[in-house]
Amino acid sequence: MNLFFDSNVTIGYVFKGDDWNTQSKNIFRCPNQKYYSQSVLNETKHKIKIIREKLFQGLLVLSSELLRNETIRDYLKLNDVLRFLNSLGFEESIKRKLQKHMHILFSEKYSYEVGKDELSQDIKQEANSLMNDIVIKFNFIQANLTKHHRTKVYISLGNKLMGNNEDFHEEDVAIILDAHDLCHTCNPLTLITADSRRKKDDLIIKFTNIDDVKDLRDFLIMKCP
Amino acid sequence: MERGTILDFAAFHLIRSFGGYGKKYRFNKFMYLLDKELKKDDIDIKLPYSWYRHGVVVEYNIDDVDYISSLDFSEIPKESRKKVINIIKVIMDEYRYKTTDEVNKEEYQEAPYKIQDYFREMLEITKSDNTKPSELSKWLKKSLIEFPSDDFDDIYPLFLEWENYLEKLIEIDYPKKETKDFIQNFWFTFAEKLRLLTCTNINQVLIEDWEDTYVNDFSELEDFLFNFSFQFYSEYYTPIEKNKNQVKSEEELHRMASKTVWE
Repeated sequence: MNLFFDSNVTIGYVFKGDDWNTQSKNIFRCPNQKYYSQSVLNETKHKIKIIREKLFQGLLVLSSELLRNETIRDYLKLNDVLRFLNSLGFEESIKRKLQKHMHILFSEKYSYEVGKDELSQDIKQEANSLMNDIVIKFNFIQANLTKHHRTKVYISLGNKLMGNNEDFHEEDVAIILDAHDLCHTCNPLTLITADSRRKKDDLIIKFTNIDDVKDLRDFLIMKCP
Repeated sequence: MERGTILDFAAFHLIRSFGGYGKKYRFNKFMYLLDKELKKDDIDIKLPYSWYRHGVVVEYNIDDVDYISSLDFSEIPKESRKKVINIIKVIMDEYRYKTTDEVNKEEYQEAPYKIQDYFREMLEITKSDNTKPSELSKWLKKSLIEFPSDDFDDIYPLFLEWENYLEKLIEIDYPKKETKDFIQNFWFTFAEKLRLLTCTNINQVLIEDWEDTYVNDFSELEDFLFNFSFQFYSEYYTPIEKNKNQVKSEEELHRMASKTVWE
């Protein structure tokens, strides 16, 4: 069985903190022939851009502010860092993620307190590890998955999908059409997605050449289609 | 005869006092000095200037000297004219034989942000044949500490990302020419905001034009750093052992899974 990955699979794979990371890693390890498309790649890149802007740069800001702030003590406990983090004006969701990083860093590395220069360096290192991991996995996707280039537009099929179900967004449909187009040369083909819903999946199978739709949720335990 | 302002008068006499190499460059510096001295005597020539990539830039066209010389300056108070001429003489006596670099260095002591001087130093290092890229580290570190994050809050995260990459590029002896380009990529965008924050007596149309340029350059810098991040982590960055092993194990698991079925 050939597999076509939706962008939530590739995003889940590249980003360790994603909700679908375990499932995505499992499906990636399957020996089946795996495909994706430019639309999938674009959405994955877009997500990386957001992570970079929020989390990666957030860690860099925290690292830098520890060095620049003259009022902060030379040695810090976790609570001091969390208090300092609160004062930096990050938006709530980023703040929560940064707090999580600090909890992990303190539990893994420091016994009680840590010098602010060392902490600043470690946070910078953490930011670099995060981006490095993302980029290496992104490169891995490009090297190990086959990219399909759709040549036809399929306007009426696209309208049919969009007109039948409000759950279909333009970006989703573009990816479904990529998989549909691939079916002309490669079948049987299964679409793997985290957006799987019974009604939606039935419509995809009814209107397109895609043979099956599998829910990414089902790959929490390692198994291959 | 068209009437000239005290600004025209000052510009005309300054141009007459020097000539040759680096004309506009020196004009910018000297006009700034002249303006500063005249302000001490409560004479405001309404100098239109801003701080930009390489120091002060005066928005005054000095190419048409014939036109400037044809202006009528008779309505400018005699006392003010005398002051302008005297101060120009003092400036010329002091700076006539100084190199452009010397003048530039002195000027930067007056720069509104310390980071301007640090970037000047960094660009000098990348221009010279006798310097090592490692000499950049000192100035980079100073830039990190002194970055004016309150006034440049929007570009601050991009600066930190850029600084993070440059720090590593210096470590791996990245080629000097490429290092210079990398520094300029950030600096030129920073300078667009710098001139918006420091502009004095600049007309609104020009300011709006500069604002558009900044928005455009900012977005280009974002894209540049985003694309560079892929190159950086693929080619230049050495991960700590923990991550290296983690990536290796991913590839290993992938290979093992393939073997299990096909062998």
